[in-house]
Amino acid sequence: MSHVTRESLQSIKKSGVKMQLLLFFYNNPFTVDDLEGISMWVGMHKKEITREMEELCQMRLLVKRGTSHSYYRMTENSQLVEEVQKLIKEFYAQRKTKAS
Amino acid sequence: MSNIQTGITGLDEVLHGGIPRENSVLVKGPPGSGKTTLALQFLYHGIVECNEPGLIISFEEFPQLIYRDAQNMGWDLKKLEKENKLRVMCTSPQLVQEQLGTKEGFLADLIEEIGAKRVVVDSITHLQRLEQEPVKLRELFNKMINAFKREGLMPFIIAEAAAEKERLGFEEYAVDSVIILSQEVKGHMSTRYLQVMKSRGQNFITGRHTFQITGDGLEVFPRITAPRAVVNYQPSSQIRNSFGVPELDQMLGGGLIEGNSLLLAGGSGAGKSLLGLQFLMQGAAVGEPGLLVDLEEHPSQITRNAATLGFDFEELLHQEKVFTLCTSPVELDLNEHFYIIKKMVKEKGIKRVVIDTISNYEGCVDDPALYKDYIHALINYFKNNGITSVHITEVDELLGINTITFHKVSFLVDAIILLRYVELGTELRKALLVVKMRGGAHDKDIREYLIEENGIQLRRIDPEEMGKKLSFQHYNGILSETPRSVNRANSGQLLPGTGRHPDERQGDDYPGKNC
Repeated sequence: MSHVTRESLQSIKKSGVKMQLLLFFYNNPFTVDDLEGISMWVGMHKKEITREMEELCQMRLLVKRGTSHSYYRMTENSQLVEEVQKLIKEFYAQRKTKAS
Repeated sequence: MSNIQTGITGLDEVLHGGIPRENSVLVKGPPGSGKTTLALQFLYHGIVECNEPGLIISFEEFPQLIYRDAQNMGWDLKKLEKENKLRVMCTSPQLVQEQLGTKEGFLADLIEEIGAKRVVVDSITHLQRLEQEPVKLRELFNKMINAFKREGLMPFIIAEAAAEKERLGFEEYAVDSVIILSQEVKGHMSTRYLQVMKSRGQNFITGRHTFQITGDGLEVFPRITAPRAVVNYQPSSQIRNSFGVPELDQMLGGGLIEGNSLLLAGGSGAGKSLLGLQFLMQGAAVGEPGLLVDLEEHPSQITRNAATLGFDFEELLHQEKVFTLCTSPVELDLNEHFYIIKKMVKEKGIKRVVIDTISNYEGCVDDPALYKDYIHALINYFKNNGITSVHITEVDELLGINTITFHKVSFLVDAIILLRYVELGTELRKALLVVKMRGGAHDKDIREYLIEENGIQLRRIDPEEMGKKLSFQHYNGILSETPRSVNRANSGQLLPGTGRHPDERQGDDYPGKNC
């Protein structure tokens, strides 16, 4: 986990938008789309997700490509994918606890 | 040009083996018509059976739902993704359009990464998000199809069709093959249809074929087609298939000719089903597997009725010497029914078939011509495969043959046996007549028969051996409603001092009196 710390990963759980974006990419791992498209897939405004997407890219959990027209996809780094998986499990476990 | 199999049961039969590899395919239909399932099945078959990795590009449906729906059909797409044989991606039409124009980019990477050979696009209707003007939209669509082909991919494109009138869009002209899916509701019954509208570079069975979506995906039942011309080769045989009723076999010149078709017509309770059963049991006894297609009775009812006459039909079923296909004629899809019969015949090596009764098929079709086509197709299928078939049909009248209810199909069959009731004296007796027998001489006598333990038995002609009962040889007009006795003086069977036969009625009510 060279480019993302446990702390920064935990901070994702506090951001509802980031968590929703990460859940979407994790469940649909070969998604490749631009901001416009992703906003449609997750049902949020483009403005609402722009900054969060950039931050997820900085954490290297998402990969941004393209020059004039940027698009995003989930990281292919298996170590990072594993960390995301752990994070999502924790997220669901906490949600379950809260619900009960 | 090589054809590639779709892997969809029945569809490859419609396409005479598959679709030419170079073709682009459009699957069009309204919501819930099975478009995505058909495309997924094509892709899954390509990966698993043909080692041709595939790509799914979804513009609307979430991949996680595609994984779930595929899993319900037993197709583990996630596993295939792990094995680098599949990618399910969701994206935007604009991005795909951009990517297809470049040599580098995520789409080219994906195609190269897994060596994709087939691509499914779900659905092309979303191209309208990019362009509304029809000419430009068509141009866009053509570019996409050509780009996929250039990358060596066989495109399977899904398109939405909200209503029948919207069916003829430009996309149907731009692709090589078009498959239309539809659904119709008649009464309480919903029927799914598949139609190949066009497929360049190949022949296919035209018209609408029924299909079902089962736990294994789509199952297409090719439309029944009556043969339009005499086939080049049809097996012919001199072998006789016995009924196991010696006198009847004798009437038929030794039995039914192998591969021939028999129409067994008669009134209710005349013993048609029993004679059919005896034909199958005799086949089982000589090592010829039989199939009973029953549209009226449940298997347990058939075995019980057979047991009352001393036949252990259940044991023959258990030993797999005979098989049954019992189905209700209510909401029966004839395409599917015929498909199942053909499948059973092939899998079980069937040599004899009895259909009880073909009269039930009449209610399954809207058009009487289709009924005739269906029977024609059935008979031809059996004949081409050397299977001897007995087609039971109901005759409405209890007595006489004023209306020949089986006239619609009688010319299609090789032989006809008629089982009739005859009113003699105060009794209803039973008469059997071989009306027609192609390919051999047959006995033209009208013979009396009895239903006894061990089944149908024909009465001997010699009156000396029959005690008080007389053979029909002493009567005229047996098949009319009013038979009359003849040659009484010579029969030696008159009641002493009366001048009457023992089975004649007293007084003026004798039915043959005025004839």
